[in-house]
Amino acid sequence: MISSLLRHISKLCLIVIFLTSCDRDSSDHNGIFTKRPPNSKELKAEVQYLALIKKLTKSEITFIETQLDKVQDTLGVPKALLWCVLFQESRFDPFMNAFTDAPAKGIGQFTGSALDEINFDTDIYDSRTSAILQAQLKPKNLPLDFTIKTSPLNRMPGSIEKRLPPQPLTSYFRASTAIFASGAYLNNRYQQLKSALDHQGISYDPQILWLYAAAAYNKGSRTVFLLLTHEYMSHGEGALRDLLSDPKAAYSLLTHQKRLDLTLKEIWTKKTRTKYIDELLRNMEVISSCSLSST
Amino acid sequence: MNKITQTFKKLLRGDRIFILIFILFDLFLIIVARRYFQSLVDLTSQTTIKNPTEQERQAIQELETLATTRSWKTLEDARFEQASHYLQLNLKPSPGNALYFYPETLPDKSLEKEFAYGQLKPGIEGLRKAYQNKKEQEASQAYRKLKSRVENYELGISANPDDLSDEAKRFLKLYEEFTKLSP
Repeated sequence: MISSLLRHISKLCLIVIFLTSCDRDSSDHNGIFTKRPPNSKELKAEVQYLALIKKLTKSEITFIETQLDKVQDTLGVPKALLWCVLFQESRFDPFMNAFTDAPAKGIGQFTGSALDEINFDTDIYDSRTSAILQAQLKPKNLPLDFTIKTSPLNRMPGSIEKRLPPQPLTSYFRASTAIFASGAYLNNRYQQLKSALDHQGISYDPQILWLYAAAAYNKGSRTVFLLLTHEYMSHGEGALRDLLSDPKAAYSLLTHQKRLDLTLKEIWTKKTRTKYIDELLRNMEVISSCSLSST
Repeated sequence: MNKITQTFKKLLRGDRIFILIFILFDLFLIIVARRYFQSLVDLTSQTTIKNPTEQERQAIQELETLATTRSWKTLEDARFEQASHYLQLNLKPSPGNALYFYPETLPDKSLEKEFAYGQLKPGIEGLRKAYQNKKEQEASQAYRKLKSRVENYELGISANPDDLSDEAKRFLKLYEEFTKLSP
């Protein structure tokens, strides 16, 4: 009787091991990111609405997704994540703020500082960046700028011609250039976080680290470092490991108003901090629900 | 010697050996726990929210005044002396000042150390070289690079320089002096 019981238990164990390894295999294959962004109903509806009012055509989305595939293949930036980051930043409008005084412009909402990083610190975080950008910009090369080309029709008052001509290769307002530059910037944040964690011998799931990189894209790596350090000090190494290996724990941290506020008191006064945290919360909620296969 | 050996042999007899093992194990636990909590204390003292003290503010002000003389050596000597003061007295400046002005005082486990030594220090070094070679355009370029590193680190893509931390602003203002080569 005991031997038959043991046989049943061992069979059960084998089944459990099989099922969990299948689960691991499929999750390894898909990762934590969805294959078809956006993963949220609200954003899907918004994409359809933008198509309906002709602000974003299907061919434009296809073109953007082709570029995102290339960025993923060359720099390893998860396509779904960059898709969601860019959609959140600009709703895929390559000319966002092109004609205003707002400092953040284009599809990835680059500022002058971000452009400076791509232009002057190209390989500081990843030695592949300049070669990849060079291949993308051929026959031109860095630096990138905010040059915008208009046609005489665009400049006529009351002109119905809204569509701008194709932009120069080195212009951030050229969609393909901007997607690669934004991908490189996101990759820089990832590499910056990775380097610091590797240096300290702290283990992490690379896919989860990309989530933190998305937060750092929008609000700087310093926020992420301070958050992780604060959690480590308050709740120990086990909690830090969870934050760097469990997407739910990472999402919870990056969207927790009180925890963000407590940590960021170190850097900013209340007014700046409140604005900053509101933006970060909004962005991370949207980006996570858009890019993660489950939250 | 015989007495010592005999005493030792008596100790190892019977249940006394278990008491010895128990004592040794306790000592081992104390040593391990002490090391573990010491490392936590080191980090805690750094990462507990700590605003700059008045003395710290005055020390940074001193550096800012020295920067206007545009003597790199004088500035660096003063900065190093201030950092050594903190280290000798085992004091910790506020985290922002530690990052930008006294990276030597950052704890070993600080995640910000990589930025301080990997991006800030080489950026300052680039500025120093351009300044000392009296190349104004290169100095401006080096400063621009340093500024971009700080802004991207603190603010990400939304880099509105007005939102930089006070320490970052003071750091950039200090080193901006070295882009002015003409008297």
